[in-house]
Amino acid sequence: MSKTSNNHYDVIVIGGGHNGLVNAAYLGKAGKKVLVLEQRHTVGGATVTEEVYPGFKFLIASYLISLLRPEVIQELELARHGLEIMPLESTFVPLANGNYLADWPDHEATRHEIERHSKRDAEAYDEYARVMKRLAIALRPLLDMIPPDPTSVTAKDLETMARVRGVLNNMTRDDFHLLSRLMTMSAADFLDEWFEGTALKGTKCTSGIIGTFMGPRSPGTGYVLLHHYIGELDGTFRAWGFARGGTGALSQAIASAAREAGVEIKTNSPVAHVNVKNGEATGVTLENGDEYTAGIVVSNADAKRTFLKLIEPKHLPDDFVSDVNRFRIASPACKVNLALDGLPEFTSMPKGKEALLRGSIEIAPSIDYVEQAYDDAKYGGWSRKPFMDALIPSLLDPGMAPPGKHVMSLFVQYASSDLEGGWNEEKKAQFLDIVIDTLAEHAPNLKKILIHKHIMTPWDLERMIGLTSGHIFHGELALQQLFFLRPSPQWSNYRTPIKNMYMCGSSTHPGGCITGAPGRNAALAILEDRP
Amino acid sequence: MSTYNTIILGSSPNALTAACYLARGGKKVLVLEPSEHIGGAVATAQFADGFKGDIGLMSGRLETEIVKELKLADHGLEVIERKTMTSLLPGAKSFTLPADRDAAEKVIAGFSSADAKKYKPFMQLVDLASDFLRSAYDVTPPRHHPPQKDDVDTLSKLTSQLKGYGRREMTEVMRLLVMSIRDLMDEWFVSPELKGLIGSAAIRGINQGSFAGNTTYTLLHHVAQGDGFFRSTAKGGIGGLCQALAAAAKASGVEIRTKCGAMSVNVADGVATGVTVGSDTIDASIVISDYDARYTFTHLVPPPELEPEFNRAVKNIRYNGAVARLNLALKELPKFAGVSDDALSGTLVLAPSITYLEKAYDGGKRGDISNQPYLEVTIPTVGDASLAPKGKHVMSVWMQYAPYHSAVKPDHLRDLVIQQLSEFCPNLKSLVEHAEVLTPREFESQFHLTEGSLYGGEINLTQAFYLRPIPGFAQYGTPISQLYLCGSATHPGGITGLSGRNVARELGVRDMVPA
Amino acid sequence: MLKTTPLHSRTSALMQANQWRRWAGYCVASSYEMTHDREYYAIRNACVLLDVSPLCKYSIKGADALKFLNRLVTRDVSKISVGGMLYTPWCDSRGKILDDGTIAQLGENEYRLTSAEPNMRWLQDNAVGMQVEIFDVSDKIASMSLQGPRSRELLMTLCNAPLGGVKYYEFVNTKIAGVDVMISRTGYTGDLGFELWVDAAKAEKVWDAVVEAGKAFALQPAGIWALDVARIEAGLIMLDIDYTPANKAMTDGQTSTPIELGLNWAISWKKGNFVGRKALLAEKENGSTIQFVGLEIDHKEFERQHHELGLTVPYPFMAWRAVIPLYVDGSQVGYATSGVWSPTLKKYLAFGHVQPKYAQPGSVVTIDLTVDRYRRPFNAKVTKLPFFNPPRKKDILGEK
Ligand SMILES: Cc1cc2nc3c(=O)[nH]c(=O)nc-3n(C[C@H](O)[C@H](O)[C@H](O)COP(=O)(O)OP(=O)(O)OC[C@H]3O[C@@H](n4cnc5c(N)ncnc54)[C@H](O)[C@@H]3O)c2cc1C
Repeated sequence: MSKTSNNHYDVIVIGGGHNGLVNAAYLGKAGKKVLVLEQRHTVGGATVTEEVYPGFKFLIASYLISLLRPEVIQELELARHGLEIMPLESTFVPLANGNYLADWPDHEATRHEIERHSKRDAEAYDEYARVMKRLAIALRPLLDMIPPDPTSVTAKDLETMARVRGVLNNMTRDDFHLLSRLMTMSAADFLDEWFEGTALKGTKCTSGIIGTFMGPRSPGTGYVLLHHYIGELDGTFRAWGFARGGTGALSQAIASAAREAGVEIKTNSPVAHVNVKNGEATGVTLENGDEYTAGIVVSNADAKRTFLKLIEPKHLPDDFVSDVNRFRIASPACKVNLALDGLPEFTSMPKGKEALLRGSIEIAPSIDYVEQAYDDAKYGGWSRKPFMDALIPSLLDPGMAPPGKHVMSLFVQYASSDLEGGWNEEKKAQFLDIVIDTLAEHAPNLKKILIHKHIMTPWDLERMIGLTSGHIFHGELALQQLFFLRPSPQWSNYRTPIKNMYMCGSSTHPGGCITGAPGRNAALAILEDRP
Repeated sequence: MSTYNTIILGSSPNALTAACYLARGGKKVLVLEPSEHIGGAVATAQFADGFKGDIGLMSGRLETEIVKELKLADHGLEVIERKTMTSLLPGAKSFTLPADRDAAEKVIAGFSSADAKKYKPFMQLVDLASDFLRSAYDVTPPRHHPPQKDDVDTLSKLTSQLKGYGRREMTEVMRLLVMSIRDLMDEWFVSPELKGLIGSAAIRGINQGSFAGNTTYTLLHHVAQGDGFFRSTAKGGIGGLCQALAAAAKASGVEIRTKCGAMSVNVADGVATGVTVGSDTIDASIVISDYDARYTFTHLVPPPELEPEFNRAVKNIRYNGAVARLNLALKELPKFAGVSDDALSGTLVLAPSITYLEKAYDGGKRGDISNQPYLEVTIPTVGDASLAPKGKHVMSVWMQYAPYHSAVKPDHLRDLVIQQLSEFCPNLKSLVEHAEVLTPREFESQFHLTEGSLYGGEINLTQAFYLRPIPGFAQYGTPISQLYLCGSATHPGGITGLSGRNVARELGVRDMVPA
Repeated sequence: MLKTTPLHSRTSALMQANQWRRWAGYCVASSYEMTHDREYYAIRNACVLLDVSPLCKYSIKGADALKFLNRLVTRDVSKISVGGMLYTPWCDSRGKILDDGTIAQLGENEYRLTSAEPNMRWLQDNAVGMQVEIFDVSDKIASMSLQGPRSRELLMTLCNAPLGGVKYYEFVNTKIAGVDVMISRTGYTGDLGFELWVDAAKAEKVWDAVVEAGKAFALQPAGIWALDVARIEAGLIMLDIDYTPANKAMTDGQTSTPIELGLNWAISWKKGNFVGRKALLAEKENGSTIQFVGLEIDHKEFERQHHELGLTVPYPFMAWRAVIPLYVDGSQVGYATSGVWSPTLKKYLAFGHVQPKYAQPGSVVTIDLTVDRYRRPFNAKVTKLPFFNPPRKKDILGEK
């Protein structure tokens, strides 16, 4: 074992996902000597852009940015490091009967559009948006909190608990009641209370199921709906934004900020295990045998991978191991990218409104459709007609494809990570065909313009990016694994049962999505312990 | 005409419990019941010549404290415990789980040693969680937000109870409340049959599947009410609960009028002044409705008396009745393959796995009847011969899902259930002399249970504690002053009488035990 | 894309200055000419024609129509009969105002309600348990507003309805250019004026007839800018500007009650229960925390300070819509929401919301105005509303 100063760092971050990079950048800025070890050839994790097919840049995992904490953008000066986010302005929902539903950037235009489907909904729509916004604003302070342990009586935990109560007590009684209900109910029930339009409810319910292995009628999806609303607040314009160069450009910007803060980033460096001595983390060993030592080890990988693969169980208390074992991580999400020789022509696209192609295109015509997609998959199968959230990045950033050509990105649910009989290449191809057939029903020219198709199933997301079960959020956003229960009761504050070992990935509060919050909060927790 | 201080519309166990305590508090109470028997859907009635069957719920018990305080044993209450649960498994197999935990562990060891080891710790955790719920059920939910003095007292009592369980246990209990039963079962057990049997209590009475979030709450609710895994009933059928309560009520001066005719609440200037029954007007300073919120606020009180926001909230309550009930008059005691005669005094359950339950619900959520339903079967005549002619028997079946919005044909439903059970009891069909089928539609039309919900509103976390029956109105009062609710629709829901007792306390009755 | 009104072919032909604005998702004229001076003066001296089709309109029919409306709104709708109309706000159950508009009784058990915002869901949810049918007829009916002292004469040349006898807030059904028209004596200018309600498909024909006949009465097409000046002079509040509808408010602080807005006169306490009554009654008894008032800003001093600096005096003839703090002794006591220089009164007018103790006519608050790039305090005197209320607004010329 060579303990040269070359191989010793204040902090080693395992994994260069966006949270690992954020964590490293904050610690670097605080004066620590930080090393990031990323297994892949590039940083970013699930926040990457890759040229899978020559000339075409694919968003092989995440595709849009919404919940990225403004603090992270400001404090790491990401704009200076190259981050440019442009708003995604519209949503287009093709319907089976040739009709469509659109959401425009303009409030009144949207109102008229909804009126076309239901006068009642047009009125409810505003009120709904306002209520969701109010709840999201009320909850937002929780995102940047290191969760307290409600069972603890330390001054720090008591104070944080008081802050949590303060957040809730600041709400009006009506809003508090509504929040209590929304947290526990299904997205479908909640939407039924507001709207009558099938298509409107179809598209709205998708916020409740993105990344979760639940159908819109499952209680618990109400919370996920709200989770996604929190992002509506901070973008300069509105909900979802597209980063020039794809989400990978965000990771590159954070990496650049980190490097500027003195962080060293090594790619192609898969960590085999964390070295633990007398209950303390002392460093890591790579798969190639290289060793690095550090005063602090932080893992950006998900909780299962970290504690079941990188650390020997003997170093961990039994309760904790069982908590990690029971952490739910089954995933239903796939990502498809298409290289196209032109633009898809949607039969229901109204003439003169082709600008809608620049926004989200959602195949979610009704709650029943989405629920059926879930039912098809929940026993270990896949949707015969999947839900899809599509985007044509090359219309927003021409650099994503060669001139005149296009890239289409499709977020697809549901295809079970626990597929009966397991995933293999043949099954991948079969499901990819289902996705393309489903889309081609709405855009018949699709197959004619198709140059290349590519799918990331849960299997691929696990193999390539290291996401256990391919879970896009490093673990289900179910109530029993949120806030002070994420990933485990008593260990929700980014610390772990191993001294000097921390977590900074999406298995921790506030969970998945491109937020930077786990990375930042973990840095704050580390700096609390080691100023 | 004599005047009453308090009029209660409806006569469920909660209504009768409230009547008893209010009378004890010195009120002159009148209970009005439009049908011919008391109890609403908690009643036992003749359904074929000489055969008596439970109409709605087929198990349940009154809160122990209430039984004691009201001396119900003196008024004829005799509790019958069902000491086993038998799980009917594919291939005409089964296993019988006894209530005794040591014995149960041995039974489980027969098919899974891992699960056998975990059974007792699991039940202990369930005990803790349901013990916690039980405490929450005994109080009026907090009224204010942010909480004020009385709410803080309530909440801090509950919190310290939770903390008293220990740090690890505290968070475990909190997790339990929000979990899907599938997740919980996966965390504890490996054998599908045990998961199915235990997990079935989590979907009992609701139109949700076993994969759905928060279903563990529903399980804990049943357990906290003494009606979780090992059920009980009363001598004379479930209606025995009401008979005893009614006797106690009458003894303390309550007047009970059945077949009273159509009822409505009289409201003047936002204040309830009494009721109209048939063509009579009876004044009272307090009116209490035992009916669910939707029925109360659309039929007993005209909606225009209420604010639109409140009407919206009433509309948003989830009822979703999904239970059908069958009472079969049998020529003789049926034999279930592999099931001992002893086990026939317990409950038989068709819930072989969590997936089975979810699949049963897949139809239910779209408004279809399950082809492979979840079934619960008892033969009440095994412990109580008074319910059938000598030598004959009654079989009581609870079937899910038969959602309110489905077009259920009673005959089809009967055949489906008999066919399902024939796998275990091949000659069942030939034993049936008569069958009574009750679907959510009947529950609604006969007992005014909205959408046929037997609990006055689905028992789920979204409709619990300070959210039951309507957020902002969880303290038994309503927007109409002097009008209260006391039924299963209110916190905590169910037929333990706790709702009725909580209302009485809200109305100023302090001494629950007579001096 | 913005929707166009049924009269767009006509209004766009008249447009000289390309000054369009949006109103409830429709494209309407701000001002047809380069400035709105002439359009404003025509409101007060001749007559103007405005396209007000973007208003929301609901047809309400059925045995319980009256019961429904009386439950919905704060005024007593039983006070009108067929041919009558009234203005009224409506509230949520906390007594917070949701919208305001007019109700016309078209026949037995048949009414029409107008509103600024879509109200379908609220209307339906108030109709629970009542026999009433509600239809959104916003797109079916075009409305134009003919306002100004000469409007009556003009209309009388076009139809034989007895307009001389039609009182303020009454309407008649008649024909113009062969088209069925409902003419109501209503408007948003506080002047003599009428609104014409026509089948949208035939609206252009009526517009053309009015414009043609108007040549003899100096009729001027007018846009929203001119209307905005007139409505402030007339003391009329505007949704989203002078109050935030309760269902749009992000906080309770943003909401208003009719009492706070000076609409006590539009609340009928005796008609029985209506939505928000309990809360409003409590407010009536316990007092409000804020009160809507008219303000006259000391323009003399504003002028003097400009003169002192050798500057020309600005006259804010374009109404402003903004929230501006009001002070007494340096601490904020409320805020103003609209203001304009009134060419008719020669006064600088504003709408304020102040603590009740400053709401008596004659009390003085201060408002900051910009003089030569710096904000300075000026006195603003609380004044009774409306600021301008000519007798012709309500006069009658004989029998109906
Ligand atoms: C298909 C898909 C679509 C999505 N769409 C969106 C979206 O549109 N918007 C949004 O906000 N979110 C989206 N998400 C979620 C979001 O991308 C993730 O939640 C987020 O990127 C996770 O970031 P992270 O840094 O916590 O973890 P990761 O990105 O998973 O980073 C973990 C890193 O650790 C590395 N690693 C793991 N093990 C080792 C090891 N042993 N040694 C070295 N390195 C290791 C991995 O290679 C990876 O780089 C999507 C996710 C997926 C999969």
